[in-house]
Amino acid sequence: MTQFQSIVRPEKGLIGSEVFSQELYELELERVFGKSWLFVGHDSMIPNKHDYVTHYMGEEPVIVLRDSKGAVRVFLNKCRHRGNALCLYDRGNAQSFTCSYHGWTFTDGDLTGIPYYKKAYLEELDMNEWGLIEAPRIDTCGGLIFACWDANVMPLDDFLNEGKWYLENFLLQEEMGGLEVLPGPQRYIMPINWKLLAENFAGDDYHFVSTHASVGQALSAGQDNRIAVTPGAVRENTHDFSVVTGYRNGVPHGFLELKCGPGPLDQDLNQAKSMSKEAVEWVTERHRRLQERMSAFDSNPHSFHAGNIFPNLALIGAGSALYGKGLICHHPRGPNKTEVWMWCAIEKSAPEEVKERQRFVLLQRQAAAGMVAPDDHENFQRISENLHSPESRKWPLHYGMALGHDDDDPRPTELRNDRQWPGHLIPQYSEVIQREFYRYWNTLMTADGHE
Amino acid sequence: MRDFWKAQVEIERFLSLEARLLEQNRFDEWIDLFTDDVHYVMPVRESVEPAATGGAAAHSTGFALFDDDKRSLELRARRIETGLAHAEIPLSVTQRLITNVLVEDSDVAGEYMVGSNFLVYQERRGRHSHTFIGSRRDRFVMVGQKWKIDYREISLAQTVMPATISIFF
Repeated sequence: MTQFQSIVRPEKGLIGSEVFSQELYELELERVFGKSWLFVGHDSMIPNKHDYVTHYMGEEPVIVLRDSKGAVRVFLNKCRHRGNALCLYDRGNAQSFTCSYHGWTFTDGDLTGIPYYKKAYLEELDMNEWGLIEAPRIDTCGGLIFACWDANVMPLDDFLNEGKWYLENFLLQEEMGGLEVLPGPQRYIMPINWKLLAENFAGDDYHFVSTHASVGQALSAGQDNRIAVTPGAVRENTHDFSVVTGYRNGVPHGFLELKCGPGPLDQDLNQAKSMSKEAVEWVTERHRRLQERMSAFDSNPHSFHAGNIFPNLALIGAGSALYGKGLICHHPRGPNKTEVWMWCAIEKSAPEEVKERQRFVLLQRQAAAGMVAPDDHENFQRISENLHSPESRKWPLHYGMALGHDDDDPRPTELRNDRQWPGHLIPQYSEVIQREFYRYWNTLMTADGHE
Repeated sequence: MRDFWKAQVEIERFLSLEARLLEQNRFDEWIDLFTDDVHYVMPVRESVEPAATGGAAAHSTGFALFDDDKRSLELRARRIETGLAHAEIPLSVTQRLITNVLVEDSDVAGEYMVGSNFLVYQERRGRHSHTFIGSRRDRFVMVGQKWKIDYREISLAQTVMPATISIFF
């Protein structure tokens, strides 16, 4: 019996808190983050040649560069000579990068300059051998850039599997002009293991009522309803589901609050009416195009609200035309520490007033100083305090909601004849996604005969 | 000149009293220190190459941490007062040091631009603490017989914040 078989038991709805230990943290940096496609940016962050952003892949610092030929490339942010950090900025435009220690210079990743090459190196060093370390795989999906350190990883399309349908239809909205990522990510520490954030965004609709009750109550008591854009108030005739992709044998991406019915549009239109005629027209046109794409379905599918692309790209705000799209990268920083980088993406085709509103709603809600994320922070802090003491860690955590019903069709009778959505549809409140998350995590951790 | 020094003394006292209101979680009285059309903003800090831009840019066109008006500040206060906002259960203990208060003339007579530095220590449940450090730029205007703030820009020194934010600055 391997240690993993005893601590990761999704089929019993039990996960041991050892999955949050220092020992496994170090292993998962290689086995999970080293083997998965990771989000490293969006096309709109680096529109021109020589534009770059710095980012992290797990704990690896990288430069995401649009090179002199216009191709996007990802390099370890590390000089090949003595390993000094090469690029010091969050973003910028640079023809080349020069190390501050001895002055080695790299252009498009190639080593192109060595001070005293003749006097010190006698021109004998093969400069072709000492270019920057480059991520061997890079690909994009609707402007989202992903990279992977494993040359043998499956293609990005296979990795995203049915999740691609949800991204393309509900988040990226390419036929509406796509997304534009605003400069300046919020960056903050969450005092918790990255997996608890991933499983929360991927699959935890269950926590909203208890964790985030204050927002709804404040909205109903207050005068300002500009951020009331999740369709809680319009539940009538609206159905709510979740979906997990790669069910039982693939990569588990989770999407929450998949809506069917007129509720979400009604909510957006009510908001838009309080803004302007232009806003109403844009929301209406956006919805018309969505309906056109969804014409094969009778059940009036709308969008998802939150989600997680395995392992650490979380998404928020796709459920409303007036909610900025949060692209949230959960960078692991230790067994009990995650550095969150959160960008706001707005919809390019939206009128200026709507773009402003999207940004406003996102920063007021699921954001570093918003009215949602700080309550998650507090719960996660309390969990972290309880993970590692000897008695405490003996007891596994409960992931057993409705265990044994994972394959039940959650749709009410009137929707049963409609076409099935891609992926595995599950009820709004469910822990199937979390169980699938740890099932796949376990697969990665034990791949290649690891124990 | 006498008006200027009078304003300096009054505004220093205003900022100390403001800090005390926040330390005592008296949110409505705190919000009353702002004009009805206040703009309360905390930009995101990032460093951008080339360094000629200063290296540390705050982007009004980019994302932000706060970009509030009076209505949204009131909603934030109402949320904490529901007693259901876990980030503030129990209420944080904060201690606020406000220093380097510099009152400067603005373009409008009788209005002043006021710079101040702050160090805000936040204690959670006697177990955890965070320190936020930064500066503010306020515009003080006279409404009736009282000073009010109609613009506040908060610049955190920290790029990666030590925690999410459930308090005011």
